[in-house]
Amino acid sequence: MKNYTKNWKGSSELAPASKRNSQGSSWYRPFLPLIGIAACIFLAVTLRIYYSEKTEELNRQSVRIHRELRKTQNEIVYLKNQRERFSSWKYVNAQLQKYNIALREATSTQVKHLRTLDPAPRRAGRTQGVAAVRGNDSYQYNTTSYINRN
Amino acid sequence: MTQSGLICTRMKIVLILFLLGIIYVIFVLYRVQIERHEELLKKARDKYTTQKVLTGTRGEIFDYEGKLLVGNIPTMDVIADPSLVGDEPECRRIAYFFSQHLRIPFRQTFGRLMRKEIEYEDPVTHEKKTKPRRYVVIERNVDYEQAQALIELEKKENFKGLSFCDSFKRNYPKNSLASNIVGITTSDCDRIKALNGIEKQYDKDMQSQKTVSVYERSRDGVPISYGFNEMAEYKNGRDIFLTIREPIQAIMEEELDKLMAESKAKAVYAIMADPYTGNIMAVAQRPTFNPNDREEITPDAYRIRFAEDTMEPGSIMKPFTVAGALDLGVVRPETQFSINGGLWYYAGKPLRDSHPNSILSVTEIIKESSNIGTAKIALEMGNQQLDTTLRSFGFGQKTGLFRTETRGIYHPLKRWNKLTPTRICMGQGVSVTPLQLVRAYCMLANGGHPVTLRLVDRFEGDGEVKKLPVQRAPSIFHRPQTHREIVSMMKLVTEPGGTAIQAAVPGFSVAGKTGTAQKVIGGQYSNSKYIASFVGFIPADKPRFVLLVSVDEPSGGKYYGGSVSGPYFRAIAERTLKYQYVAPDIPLEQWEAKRKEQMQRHNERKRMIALAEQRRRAERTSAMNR
Repeated sequence: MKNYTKNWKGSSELAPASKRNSQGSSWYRPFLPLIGIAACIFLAVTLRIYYSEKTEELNRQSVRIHRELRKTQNEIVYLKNQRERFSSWKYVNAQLQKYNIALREATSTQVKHLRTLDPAPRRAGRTQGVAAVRGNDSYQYNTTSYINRN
Repeated sequence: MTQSGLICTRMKIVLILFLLGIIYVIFVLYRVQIERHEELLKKARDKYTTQKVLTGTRGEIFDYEGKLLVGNIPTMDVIADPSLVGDEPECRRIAYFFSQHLRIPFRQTFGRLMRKEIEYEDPVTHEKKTKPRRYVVIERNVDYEQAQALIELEKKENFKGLSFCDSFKRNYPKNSLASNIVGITTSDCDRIKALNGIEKQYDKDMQSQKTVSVYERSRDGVPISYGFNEMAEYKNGRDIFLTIREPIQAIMEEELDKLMAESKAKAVYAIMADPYTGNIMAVAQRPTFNPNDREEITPDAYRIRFAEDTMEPGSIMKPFTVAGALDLGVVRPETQFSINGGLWYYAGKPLRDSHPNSILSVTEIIKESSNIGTAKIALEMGNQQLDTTLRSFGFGQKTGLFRTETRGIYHPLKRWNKLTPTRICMGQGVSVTPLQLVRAYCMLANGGHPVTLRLVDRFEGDGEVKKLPVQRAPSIFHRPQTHREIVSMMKLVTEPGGTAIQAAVPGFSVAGKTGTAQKVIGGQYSNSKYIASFVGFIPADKPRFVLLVSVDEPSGGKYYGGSVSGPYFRAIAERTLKYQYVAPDIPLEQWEAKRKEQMQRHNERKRMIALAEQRRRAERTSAMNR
């Protein structure tokens, strides 16, 4: 490869690269590796700072999420405690009494007779099935039995 | 000099200066990074490194099905930095704010905020110095919801130097339910101290581990990801799952409240256990306390009566003597004993029966709770065999449920006198804890297999489940029919003519025994203070549970075990059986018919006895006239 150079007198001449290097412009050559190393260090430091910043950002984000999680966890624990308080029999019983809700214990003597009044509903049940298929919704299902309570 | 030569020289000078600069930087770096490395690193670490003490949460207590009995509820501590809060008007504003919302005395908060400096003595020069006060607790354990509302309000008010820190406090969502078993804790500085119950018994298992994390932090306190950090993992305490069932416990406590009100007793307690596994299904006492309301706690309520108190069991002890005698072949159910009309002298001391009878079979002795009959059976057995029998039922040995439990009083054989066997067999001269009684009745119910009572079923924590084993030993009965015979006798106790008709549960066969023990006051048996108990198992032939109901010093007019404790045994048992969907072992109609027939037979027998007595009196009168 050939390069044109211009001398101080204004005339240009074609000089081979080997000759030009050997003539005086080669004094900075020993510093080239140093500059290269410095550039590498600079690049490495810049990259390090860049990635550290990114990591820190993520770190902060994770801390924030961690805090949120802990808050949610606390809320869950708080609600769990509240649920246990409200589901305790003492509390339920107090509410039943407060609002006078008629809650009776079932006893075996409550059902005295179980009597089928009309055997027809069995047939009616079958009819209803057919009626439903036909799209007849007006059919009323008969009560099969009555429970006499004390 | 040519122009190019000048430029070259300048460039060289600049380069040399640049090189010198670099050399200087390298020199400074060498000094900072290598020579003063340790010193500067320490300084930096001191400034940016922080220590954080992390504590896990204490283990929680659940019932058998995982319903929370004792938990940790999140709360918040209100912290202030007096050096940041501001001047006096600002401190007044903050103090007023907290006096309005947390009802903390104004002066207290104001005083704390106004103390801006701490005096301390320099460890080197021993001079008194001051430093800014950075940490003051305004209020600990503020309710979580209230704290959230406060945070919002505080933001609006724009206070400086205030912070809210997460904390936990022990919470008892079921209030007084099972409070004597689970126990309570208190906080000693930042340490949780267990005071009694399960909390104390398993304190080591439930304690959380405290760890110290050391890390470099940024200005806003966030750990630096690339900095030095030693983050230690804290450990939560292990959760405990008890053997008790919350609904059954609630039933028991509700009935005990009624019993306490009706009997006007000094104390009442009840224990329910599974005879095959030894699991305590429910256990309660009155008086008791609400752990959420510490101001109301009295020493009487605080004590675990069923483990720490002992009592003379009274007639409840009789079935053990009879079971031993049956098993050893000393007596048979139909063997008859003379009752001497209800008064018998032995070793110069009288022994009385509440029902004057002349002759009773072993079965009737249990049914009518005859002291004389039981004493005679004990004498037939002999001291050695009686002692072996009672010891094999676990008397004189702790059940191991609580550390504070007492052993009771059971004298060794060498200290027995002539009278001892006639008294110990009917529950006098021996004192036991209610837990020991329940354990012994579990053995009667399960065919004589000694069981270890269990209150803790399993531990859970760190993904591990540690189940405590059920311990059941081979039967102590040598004859297979002993169990059946003693259960048949005990069934009669709740049938017409027995001492606890009120303990009968419709549709179920109940095997049980009443006990009316006189209390020992000042070394003598009192004639006015009793412990009225009923203990039984139901259904008698394949029991679901053993239940003891005891009333200490009933004063509502009644004092017999059958009439005081019996109805509440029935109430608790009936509700529990319904809750457990246990089908009646006898259809209700049959049970009612059988009951009616038994009642008629009993009335007929009573009439016959009365007639015989009348005839005897007439004969005696005519003989005297003659």
